[in-house]
Amino acid sequence: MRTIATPLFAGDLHHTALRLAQAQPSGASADATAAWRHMLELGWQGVLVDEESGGAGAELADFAAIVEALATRALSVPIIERCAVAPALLGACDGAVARALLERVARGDASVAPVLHTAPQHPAAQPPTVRGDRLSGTVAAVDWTVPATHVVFDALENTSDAPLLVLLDVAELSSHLRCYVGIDGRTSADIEVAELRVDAPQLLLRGAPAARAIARAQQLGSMLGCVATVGACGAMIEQTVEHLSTRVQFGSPLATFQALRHRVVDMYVAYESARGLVRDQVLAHAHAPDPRQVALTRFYVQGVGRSLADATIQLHGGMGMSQETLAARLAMHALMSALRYGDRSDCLEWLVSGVVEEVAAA
Amino acid sequence: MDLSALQAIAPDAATPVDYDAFRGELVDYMQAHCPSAIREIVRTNQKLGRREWSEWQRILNTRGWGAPNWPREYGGTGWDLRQRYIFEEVSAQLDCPPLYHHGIGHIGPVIMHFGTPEQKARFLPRILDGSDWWCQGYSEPEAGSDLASLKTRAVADGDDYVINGQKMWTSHAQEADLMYTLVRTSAEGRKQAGITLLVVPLATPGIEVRPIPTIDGWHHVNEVFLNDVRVPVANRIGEEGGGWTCAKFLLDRERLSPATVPRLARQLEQVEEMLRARLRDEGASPSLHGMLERLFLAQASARGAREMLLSAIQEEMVGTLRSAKSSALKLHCSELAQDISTLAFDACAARYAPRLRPVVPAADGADERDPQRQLVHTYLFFRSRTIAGGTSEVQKNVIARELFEA
Repeated sequence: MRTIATPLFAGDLHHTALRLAQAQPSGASADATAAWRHMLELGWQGVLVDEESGGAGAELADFAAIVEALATRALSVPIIERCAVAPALLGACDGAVARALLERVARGDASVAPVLHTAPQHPAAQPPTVRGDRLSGTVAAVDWTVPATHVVFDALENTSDAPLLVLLDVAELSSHLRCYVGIDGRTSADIEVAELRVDAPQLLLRGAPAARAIARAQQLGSMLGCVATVGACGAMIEQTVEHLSTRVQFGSPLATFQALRHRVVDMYVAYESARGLVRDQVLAHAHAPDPRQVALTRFYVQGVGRSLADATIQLHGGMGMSQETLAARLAMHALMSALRYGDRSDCLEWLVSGVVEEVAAA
Repeated sequence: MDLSALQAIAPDAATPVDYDAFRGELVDYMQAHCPSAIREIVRTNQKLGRREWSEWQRILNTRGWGAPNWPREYGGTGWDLRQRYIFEEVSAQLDCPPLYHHGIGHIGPVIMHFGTPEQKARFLPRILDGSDWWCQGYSEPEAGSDLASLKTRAVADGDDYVINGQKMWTSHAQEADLMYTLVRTSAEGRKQAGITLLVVPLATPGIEVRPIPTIDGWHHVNEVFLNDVRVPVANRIGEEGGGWTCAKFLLDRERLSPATVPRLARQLEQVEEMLRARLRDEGASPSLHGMLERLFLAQASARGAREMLLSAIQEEMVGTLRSAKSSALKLHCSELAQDISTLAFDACAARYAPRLRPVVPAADGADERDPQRQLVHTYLFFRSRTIAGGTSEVQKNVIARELFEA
């Protein structure tokens, strides 16, 4: 296989993640649990956690290197959710419960599945509500692909509509689950609760600090989703070049047909453009997160991911439709990465509303 | 184009037809006789299987409408083209299943054209009443767009052919009785010359059918392995070595299906209903405006496709249809189908892409009946529209060759 894609952030973490991903059994029905256990052993849940909480305190670019490498094999694991978004939410909380849990997360002793219902750039679903010490509603689309110990999610305080960050132990939830398999093979669960008792320590954060934590976690997930899309796109180009170079039809390799070559060139140009944008934004995001730049990046990269997914399927012919083909799984990975943490519609709505507000204020 | 233009070139026109009355008769019959459970499956974009298709085929055949595209001598309706188009429009509008393409649309006309009297008597009535179910064994691992490179071999042995090889992307093989298949009977001369069309009963010893899991999550394509499979020489359609002629005859028909455009129009109606409901529930927004813009373009494009189809049918009947036009129609309709399904996907994927398949489906079938979930399946399935039946790239080559005369 020719190497065409240049890693966003080459280095040891990228190589380690790549080796781990390549060692996993391939195929649509491959179980991700063993791979996930390996990731916990490698301490990846703690990569972005501060050293004082037991993590590595690494840069966002270091973690992006892992995300990109796993995406090149379309690995079905909630790496962004468990290793970036959940630690970001817990890290924004001051309480002892959150601090202790974050340390367990960094050690790999606990794993927290996050859900963001009310993020400004991705209002995903009606959040559950808390009245007194009772929680009711649906915690929507919790990633359930690999075992979690806790779920952290945003809810609304019934009396004030103020946002809350709520923590639940999964042992409290097993009888309320409805599980689904998504287009990329990952499992998600809708968790319905009615008048479930929540104690004060489970309410991790409330009001404006909670809203800020939710928004920042969403933007972090959004940026890393772009990284995953770029990783999948680079791999799709390599898979497509390999397929066209080896598949012989009409007496010649398909790669000799100019129309097909040009379509791959279009894929490559779009990929390089998205790659440059995402690399720049990951570096910028680590130091000074800019919500508008996150939304713009996501808006653009989602379009690139979609167009490369379509082209990859088409250029693989029937094989592009088979779940057994890595190219097809990469296409599904890119499509799904473009939907988590806000789709193009969400980005568009948020960007337009920002412009409208600016014009009105001018 | 006014549909009346098609009336003048009707194949079996005997007496003047009152087309409004004809449409009314179709509406009344389909409303009364197409089972509501089947219409619900079509309306909610679920995958159709043999059970639904064959039941509808049986019902239509009881009324004498089992084969709108067949001449009367073989049990067809003998309808003129305007009637056939009206039939497809009404069928799509009322969410009745399309006619099963492999039997009525594909192999039936091939048998009429190339088959022996015995083959016509044996196969055609059972296609008409839906008792035999067919699939097409064309593609192979190394022969997709380049179909003439197929390697599955059939060797004559007494009164039989003995077949060895592998077919791929064989849709409906898991529920079919018979497979019409192209095999290589000679390696001499041009590769197209050594191909023969055989009918293979799928219950024959030596056949194994394995499903191919596809991204849409539906089971429709398979690998078919043939290991020393014996079929009688009497199952050969046309001459030995004449399979390529049969295949071209069939592919030409495939590109000119009158059903395509009415089904696109119905999909557009469904997407419009969905967007209107969203507008009503959520109010106007930039993203909804963007989706409506795409809807309007698709509506105009579908109208253009309809005109293209009607004129192509007309030209086909008088023998002036150019390959460029039939390929352009296939290209246009398959890309338009993808555009429509992409628009539908964009409207409902945020909710349903992570929830494509419930791990424990609702016992009452509610998950399957959710049209928006099925639209995600459809979006993924429709990626094959520009691949199956001749890829868009192949269609473009056909068109370019004719436009440039080289």
